This record gives sequence, C-alpha cells and structure tokens, in this order.
Amino acid sequence: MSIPTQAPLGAPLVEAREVRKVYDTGKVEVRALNGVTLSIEHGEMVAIMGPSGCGKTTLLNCLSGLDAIDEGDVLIEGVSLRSMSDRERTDYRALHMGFVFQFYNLMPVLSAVENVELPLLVARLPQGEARARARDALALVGLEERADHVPDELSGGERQRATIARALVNDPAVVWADEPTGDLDSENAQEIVDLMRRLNLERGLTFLIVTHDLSVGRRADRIVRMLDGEIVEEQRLEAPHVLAGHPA
Amino acid sequence: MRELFGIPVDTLLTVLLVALGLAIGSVGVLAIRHPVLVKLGVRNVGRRRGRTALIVVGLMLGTTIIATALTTGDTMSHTIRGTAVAALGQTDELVSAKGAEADLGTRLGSATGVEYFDEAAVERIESELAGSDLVDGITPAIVEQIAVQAPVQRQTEPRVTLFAADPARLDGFGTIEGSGGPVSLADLGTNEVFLNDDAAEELGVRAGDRVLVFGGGPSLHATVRDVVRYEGAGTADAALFLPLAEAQAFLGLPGKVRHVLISNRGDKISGAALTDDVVDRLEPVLAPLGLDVDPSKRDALEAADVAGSTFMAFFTTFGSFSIAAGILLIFLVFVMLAAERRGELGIARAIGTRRGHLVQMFTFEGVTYDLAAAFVGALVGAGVAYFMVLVMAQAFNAAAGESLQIEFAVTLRSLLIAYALGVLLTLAVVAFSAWRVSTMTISTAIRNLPEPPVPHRRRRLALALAGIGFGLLLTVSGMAGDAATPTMVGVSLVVVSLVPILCLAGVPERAAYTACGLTIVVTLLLPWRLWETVFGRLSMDFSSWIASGLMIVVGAVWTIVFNADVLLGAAMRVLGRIRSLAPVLRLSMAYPLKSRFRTGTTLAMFTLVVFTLVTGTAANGSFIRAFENEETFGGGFDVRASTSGVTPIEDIGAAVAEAPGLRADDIAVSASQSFLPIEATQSGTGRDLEPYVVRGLDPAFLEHTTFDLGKIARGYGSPREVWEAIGSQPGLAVVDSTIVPRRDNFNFGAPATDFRLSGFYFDEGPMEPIPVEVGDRQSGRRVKLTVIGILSDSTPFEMAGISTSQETLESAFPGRAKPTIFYFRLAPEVDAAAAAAQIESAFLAYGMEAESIEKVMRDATAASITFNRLIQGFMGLGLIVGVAALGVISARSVVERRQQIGVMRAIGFRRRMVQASFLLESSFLALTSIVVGTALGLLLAWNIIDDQRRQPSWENLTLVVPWVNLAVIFLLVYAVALGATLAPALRASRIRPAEALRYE
Repeated sequence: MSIPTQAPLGAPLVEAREVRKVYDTGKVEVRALNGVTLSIEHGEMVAIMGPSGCGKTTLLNCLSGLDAIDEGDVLIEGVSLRSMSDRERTDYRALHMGFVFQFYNLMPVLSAVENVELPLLVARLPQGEARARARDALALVGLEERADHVPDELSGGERQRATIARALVNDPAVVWADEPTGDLDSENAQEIVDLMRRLNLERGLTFLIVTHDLSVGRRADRIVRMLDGEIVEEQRLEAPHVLAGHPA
Repeated sequence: MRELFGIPVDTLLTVLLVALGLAIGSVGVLAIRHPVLVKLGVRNVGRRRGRTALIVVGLMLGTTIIATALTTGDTMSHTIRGTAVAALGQTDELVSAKGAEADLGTRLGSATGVEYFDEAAVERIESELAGSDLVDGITPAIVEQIAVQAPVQRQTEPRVTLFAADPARLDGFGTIEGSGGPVSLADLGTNEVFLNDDAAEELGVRAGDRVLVFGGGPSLHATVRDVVRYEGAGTADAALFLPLAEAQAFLGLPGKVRHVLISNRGDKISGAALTDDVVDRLEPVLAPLGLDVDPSKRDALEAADVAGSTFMAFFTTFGSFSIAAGILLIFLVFVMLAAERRGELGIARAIGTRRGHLVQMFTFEGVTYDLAAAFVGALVGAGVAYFMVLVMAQAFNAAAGESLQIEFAVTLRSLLIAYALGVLLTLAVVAFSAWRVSTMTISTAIRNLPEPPVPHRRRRLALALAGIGFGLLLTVSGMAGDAATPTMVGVSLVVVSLVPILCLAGVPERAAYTACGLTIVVTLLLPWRLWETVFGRLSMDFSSWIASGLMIVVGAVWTIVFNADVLLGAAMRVLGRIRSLAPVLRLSMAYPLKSRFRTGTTLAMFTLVVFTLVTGTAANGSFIRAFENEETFGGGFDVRASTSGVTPIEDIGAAVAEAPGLRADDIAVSASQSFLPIEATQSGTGRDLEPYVVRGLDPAFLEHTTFDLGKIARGYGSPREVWEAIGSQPGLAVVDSTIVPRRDNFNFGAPATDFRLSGFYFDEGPMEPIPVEVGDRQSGRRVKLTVIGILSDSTPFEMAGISTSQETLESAFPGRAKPTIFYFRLAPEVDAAAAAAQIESAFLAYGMEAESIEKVMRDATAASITFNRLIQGFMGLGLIVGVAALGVISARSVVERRQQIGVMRAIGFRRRMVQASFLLESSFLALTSIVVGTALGLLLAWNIIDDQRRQPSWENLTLVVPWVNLAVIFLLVYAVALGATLAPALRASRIRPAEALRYE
C-alpha cells in the first residue's frame, strides 16, 4: 500500500474516532482509553493533560501508531492507521513523525549528531546529506557546538534539545512529545517549551504534547483534559504563542 | 590413568575432594549464619528459568572440556587394558629364556635364536609355588608365529599365532569355546587343529576344511576341527591351536617349550595383584636355569595406564585454551548478572546491607548454579568424549587394524575430578565477581547510572610496580634456567604492568593500551631465533605455546578494543554507502565499542579458541605432511617385509633369486635386518643396563639406505658417510632419536624404554661419538658399540633401536640375530603393491608379510590426519564457549536496550532492522575473532615451523594451512554464533515500542 503524504483538503491532520484500548494483564482488565474522539489540525499545538493513569500516554501511543487500538479508528492525514501493516506504520513514522520523550531516549552509544541523523538514515538518505541535515537541525535547537558529544556528556536540557532535533530532522507532519519537560528543572523546561513553540510558529510544525505541567499546557493552542480514559474537557487558549518572559 | 598435571590421580582426587569439601563447608557455614541472604540469593535462581538455563550452560563448559579430556584418557586406558587382557587371557606371568622378550610396539621383526627350554622346568615351578595359593594354573607352552594357507579357498595368512599348551594343565587358563560348547586341545586328533574366529575369517575356512601350516620346517597338512574363541597368550589376533606334543613334533623340538604360562588366582585383571609375590618366589629358582619370569600382565596394565595418561595430557593441553575461555565466560556471565541486578543491589546497600553480605548473597546464588552446572558439565563431557571415541576408533582401526578395538570407558574417579575442578574453578571466579560487583557507588547504582571512575592511584601504581617486579623476576629465572615459558610470561607481565603506569603518567588510555598490546603481540610473535639472540638458548615445550598464546591474545584484544573505532569507521564508510544498511551498521558497531569490557572479554574468548585451533591444526598438519615423503619414510626402499623368528632368511638376495614366481629383474635391491632384544647402557655413566633392541643391517641395506640422520657425530660429514662407516668398520652404530635428550620438548608420554643417551642435546650443539655397552641376557655376552649418528625424527618407528652392521651383531652374539626384516628396492616402473603381494606369496612358507612402503605411509598418515581432526574437534569445543558468550551478551543486551529498541522502532526501524542490528553486532565480534585469531594463529604456526626447520630432521618442513578445513569449521561456527543470537534478536524485534518506552 502507498502511504499518502498529503491530507485530503480540509481534513484534520490527526483524527481519533471512538478509540478504545484495553490492557489485559491476565488478572485485571484496564480500560486505558474509553471511546476517545479527537481532531488535531495542521500547525496546531495541542497539550493533553490529566492525572497519572488517565490514559494520556496511551492516547499518544495509539495516535502515533506505536500501540495498536482495540476499537475505533485513527486517521493520519486521512489514512486509517488500522489499515496499515506494522511495516507501513513503521515507514510512516520514519517519514512523517517525530518523537520527544521524557527521558530523552537518545542512543547512548551515538553522538548527538549521529542520534539526530539516525531517522534520515532509516529513511535511506545518503550519509553525507543526512549528516548535513542533522547538523542543521542541531543548529536550529542551538546545539551545533555539542554535536559530537555522546548523551552522557550532555546536560538534561541539551539532551532534550538533541531529542527535539532528532524529532524534526525528517521534516515531520507531527511531533509527539511525551512529558518533554518531565525530567528537567524549571529553567530548562521553559527553554524546551519555548523551543517547541518557536518551531510550531516558525515552521508550522504540529505538536501533540502529553504533560502534567500546566505551564507547558498553557503555551499550547489547546488543552485537552482527560480522566479515566476519556476526554472530559477541551480548552482553546487565547494568545498562547507568547514566548517565555512575555506572560499571556 | 596414573597422573594428571604431573600429580598422581588418586592424590589429586583426594586433594580436590578435600578442597571441595572445605569450600562447600565454608559456604554452608555462612549460609547457616545468614539464611536471609541464602533465601535472597537462591530465589534469584528461579526467577527467570531461561536465563538460569543459559547461565548453567555457560558455567558448565569448562567442566565439560575437563571431563572430555579425562574420559578420553579413561577410554584409552581401558582400551589398551582390554587389548592386554585379550592378548594374555588368564596368563599373568610368562617364564621364558633370558632376554627372549622385547616389546617396542613396532609390530615388525622378531628375534631369532630364542632358546627353547626343557618342559621339565614346569615341574620345578610347580613345586616352588605348591601350597602358596598364589596361582591357579601353570602350563608349558609354545607361542610362536607361523603361516597358514587354505589351498581350496586360495587364501593365505602369513602371520598366525601358534598356541600350544598341555591340555591337561589348561584348567586355570579359561575355557576354549567351540561351536558346540567348550572343547579341549585333547579333543584334537592327529593332524587336526583349532582356528580362532580371526584366523578362520582371514582364511575363509570352516570346520572340516583343510589348511597347510608353515613353521620353518616341513609343512603340516591339517584339518580344521572347529572354529573356537579363546583368550590365551598371544591369541588376540589370528591364532591356531594345537596340543603341546603335536606342536613340538611339528617344530621339530620334542620335549622343548618356549614358555611356561602362569595364571594367578583371581580373574583376568585382579590376578596381576599377586604378580610381585609370584615373581619373588620364582626368580631365585629360575635364574640358575637361565630362565626369566616376566610380569607380562602387570606390565601391560601399567603401560595401558601410562598410555591413558598420555592421551589425557594431550587433550588437557590442547583443551587448556578452551578451559581459559570457559573461565572468562563464567566471569562474563556473573558480571552481566550483577549489571542486571545493579539497581537492586544498590537499594540493598542503601537500606543497610554490608558489602560482605552482597558478596555472600551473590556467592550463594553462584554456588547454586555452580553445583548444577558442574554436574551437568561432567556428564556432558563424558557424552562428548563418547562421540570423540567413535571417531578415534575409526582412526586407530585404520592404523592398527583389529588389534586395537577402542571401547568407550569412563570412571567415577574422572567424573569426580572433573566435577570438583569445575566447581572449584567456578566458585573462585564467582567469589571474585561477587567481590567486584559489591564495589559500587550506591547513589549511581540505584539510578542505574554508570559507575563514576574511581582513581585508586596508589593502588594501581603499587599493583603495576609489583607486576613489573614479578615480571622481571620471572624473566631472570627463566633465563637462568634456559626456560622459555617463564621468560615469555615475565617479559609480557612487565609490558602489561606498564599500562597503568603510562596512564597515571598522563598518556591517553588508547595510546597506552595500544602501545603495550602491540608490543606483546609483536614481541611474542618474533621469530624465536631473535628471542634467542637476546635471551640465549631457551627450552620450549607446550607450556610455552599456551603461555605465549594467552599473552598474544590479550595484547591483540587490547589493540582491537581500543582502536576498533578506526576499523569500524572505515567499515562504515565503505558499507554505509548501502543505504539500507547504514542505520543498522551505525548501531551494531557503536554498541560493542561502547562496552569495552564486555566486547574485550568476548573477543578474547573467541579469539583464544580460534587462535589455538588454527595454530594446532596448521602446525600438526605441517608435521603430518612432512611424513608424507616416501623417500624419507621408506629409506630408499619400496617394499617392507618381515617373517617370524622361527623362519629367518639368512641370505635374502639368494632367496629372491631362487624364489618361485618372482622375477629377479623386478627387484633391484634386497636388504635385510636382524632384530634382537638386548640390554644397553651408555658406557661411563654408571647407569644400569636397560632393555632395548639392536638391529643388524646387512651390507645391501647399509649401501642403499637413504634414511636420514638428525645428528651426526664429529668426524663424519654426511648420513651416507655414516652408513658406509657402519658397513666398513665393525662396532659402529646409530640409534633412534627417542632416547636422546632435547632442549625443546613437544612430546607427550615417554619412550618405550629406560635406556637413554646423555651428554648432548639432539637439537643443539655438536655430538661426540658415544660408547654404549650392549648385552644379550640369553647368552650373557656383551659388546661395545660406538654411536656415531642419531636417526632423524622423520624415520618411521620401525627403525627404533640401536642399528649396527649384521656382521658386528653376528660376531658379538653368534646365532642369536638372523634376518627377519626385509627391505626391497624395486626396478623402475614396477608396481610396489603387486610386488609386495608376489613377495608375500613367494615366501609363504616363511610366514612373510609384505607391504608397499606407500601403503604403510598412507595408513600411518591417514591415522594421523584423523587424529589431527579429532584434536581439531576437541579444540573446537572451545568455540561453543565463544558462541555461548555471544548468546549471553545478546540476551542481556535485549533486556538492557529495551527502551532504546522502543525508540528505534518509534523512529522507523523495521522489525527486521532491529534483528539485523543484533545479528550484525554478533557478526562483528565473531568475524573479528575469526580473522584476528586466524592471523595470529598462522603467524605463530609459521614461527613454530620456522623454529623446527632449524632443528635436526625438519629442514624441509613447510607450513601447510588446511584452509578448507578451517573455512568449514569457521563457517559452521559463524552460523551457530548467529543462531545463538537469533533468539534474542527475534525477541528484540518483537518488542512493542509503546511498551518498551514505558520503561525508565
């Protein structure tokens, strides 16, 4: 099957329809998602918030195709994820998605630039071109000087910048961020949120951010609140694009 | 088996069991004092069954290799014991004329002029032993080589043992089983014989068929009364049975016998325990009669045990690298186990557990694995040995025919030794690993962060200085004792100890390790003549090979591990151009580089085994190939033949000229040797006379032989000159090289005699003519000979002994040494195999057995090649260690990298790419080891060959690399290595990204 890279006109970038996900541990059945319906538009920055265990990360995983759903459907650029094979979903992630995780999840054995270029190599770009684009991405997040350092030699903030560079290097349609500031101090957290917001505004990158942190949520275009696997509230924010130091 | 590692086996077993008892006892006491720690440690065993199984397999390999070596020794000991028992039956002692027996195992040539004695001697023996309750059978007997022909079947067997005894006295010597039940020699009528199964099969006859028997005098036309089974003296192969009186008449020796056979009380083996008592009683009585009592059974059983020990030593030596690799594997397994538990251990320390407690907890767990693994390992080792025995049986049956039937055997003693050694070795490694694991920074352990570097500058410096001091001490002592092993180890230790000093001095780690690693590799691979230029002449043996091999591999692994980024960078630049490979390659090369310890240990294990395998195979193969030279092996002759002692041929030239069916033109040279068991000693040394053999070479042999000499006494210029001198000057001789001292000793086992020459080295310096004294015990006469040459190592064993001219021997011991061994050089274009058959047929009445030299050589090398392959297979067992290491590492990596695998999948790695990443990582380790191990192994093998080429006998030796063999082995191993990684790789690829990313 060929994977569309362009959404049908007027269609949302990501659309979840009555998504249900159950974790069956053998002894206990946990309804992680209980009929979630959600749309994310191109260039939008959406924050998913809620208490621990409410299904935020599960929703992110299901929307991004990292996890399978039990019922309902997820459409990315108008194409159902359920209709894709594992291999097609994998290729789609490689070409059109970026990921940012709480614990950075950089490959500890690779330098920053090698980590960033990895998705490009997966997408079969020539090595030279991949390296050049990886350096550009690192420059974009202000990490060009630390390009040849391995993660152990970077601070938490630097690691998360490298992760963001890796997420955007393949020019994705959407970046999924799971608690991107969860492991950072407030100053570094602020910088990372600023960076994501800037990329969103300047490059039109779509972000879906799972977070506990209200200060992060308030920088999004929209906050989606979840409880017990369901969306209980959606709040569109006014002037969310103001950068740090410029309160909304 | 008698000895292992130079220690009597029973002593070793006692020491090991005591040590095992102490070790397990100590662990037990600690367990009683801290049952909670036992519970914690042992509960871990059952947590993950798959991992537990993997650990047990990893831990058992060392024990398996030890058990395999010991069981092989047991098997050979049992086999040779079995052969001795089959050959002697119930007979424990043989009474014969003085000096009648000599067994060098050459199976070629028989003594002539062996005195038969009056059968009345049996009564003297009987009266002496009467009432002693020591024996249950005494019989006069004739055991002699004869030839038998079956005219109707047109089959001839030139070498059949005639066994003749007094039927009335055979009760204590077992039962002769006929086709219809027990039979007696007394049942035989005139001109009737029994044949055993072997003889009947060779001749194609059955009961009632006619045979013609040749014994040197008039032939006997006889009827086969029955085909029987009987284990008597000398009846293990083809045998013919007659009553004593009939045999005496046939041989023209009425009232005379060759032996008195004595069967001690007890069975075929236990009777030998009474031999000392029997010999003590008989010796004073028999000496005045000119008779000897030979403790044949006891000697044969002892020889069997020595042979078993020799085999076992051979296998333990070649297995030592695999055992070393096995120990490394145990270490690796426990270090990785600790890494997995680091968080838990950190928490345990945080809540107040002492370091000592952690060591104990880990040791309890390790002992549980250890006891199980050693048990399984010992049993698996016996199983592996069984399969090796099957192969060995083929090799030896090809060489020795049916006279040596290899039978699997294992003793509880060997299994206990293997078990105890396995448990103790593993326990030591476990204790060390536990101590190493317990050294942790609690805060980083809890968060599973890397351990911060701990300087320990003083300790490192002290250790380094101690290493240098000890290394220098070893070097000096090695030089003083002219011993290569301590010198090599000493020099290497000094270089190894320089690493921490260089690092402390600020030299970058990479530079320090690379410089020292390369220094060790280059130094130990330098041609040995350069070593000798610096350190003087050094004696080498197998321990030199083992020590230098271990150090070379350490040096090479350091160099690789600290420079792999350069190699891999180049590989990435080349292979990375293949776009689909690039991301997979990037990761599969990065991980091994990151974990230097793990990568280095695995590389060391694999490389060590590959290195041994290549060195052993190439060097052994080269020596075997060197034997495949008909000119060297045959001494200038094409056919070799022998007759029994009762049918010598005094003038073979004349006999050939007159022989029916032989064309005189086909045979260019007919030469002969006589063969006489004697006693000999080197004059002027004060040493006792020791049993040996002397050969009398006729003028034709001396004129035409091309047998090479490894050493020539001063005053003689060439082998030809030596042979001519022996022919022209009475009293000159050459000897074989097994009785000569050497500087280097790469031999296993001991020569078949205690007779030794001394005062020079075979492989070093000049040799003066050496006077020896040779005595014939039967006649009591003595002669002085002067040894002026030593036969080359490449001379076949059938030339073992002191070789002088027939004229010298005949004048020294008149009538005692008549030719029974014959060599023929054929005219050009004459087929040697056909000529051998014609010669055998022409001299049937003499019981002549003839073979072409080419066939003899082919059989000898075929057996050697099979044996070499067996050794390859045994050394290859170590490769399982390497494969297991890869499996352990891969399994651990999947757990460690779970989250990273999740990320890989998230950013677009397909499942197959994840699999490929793991497989490539293992490939990097396996292929690097194979390439580096092969290169180093070939360099060392070349060095061995280069060194041997400077030794006498091996000037034309060339390095022969069995590329095809090695390629097959390594491809197989590589495939198995990938197989071992496949399961973890598949598991990794099946990890669901969302699940994996949940791990912190």
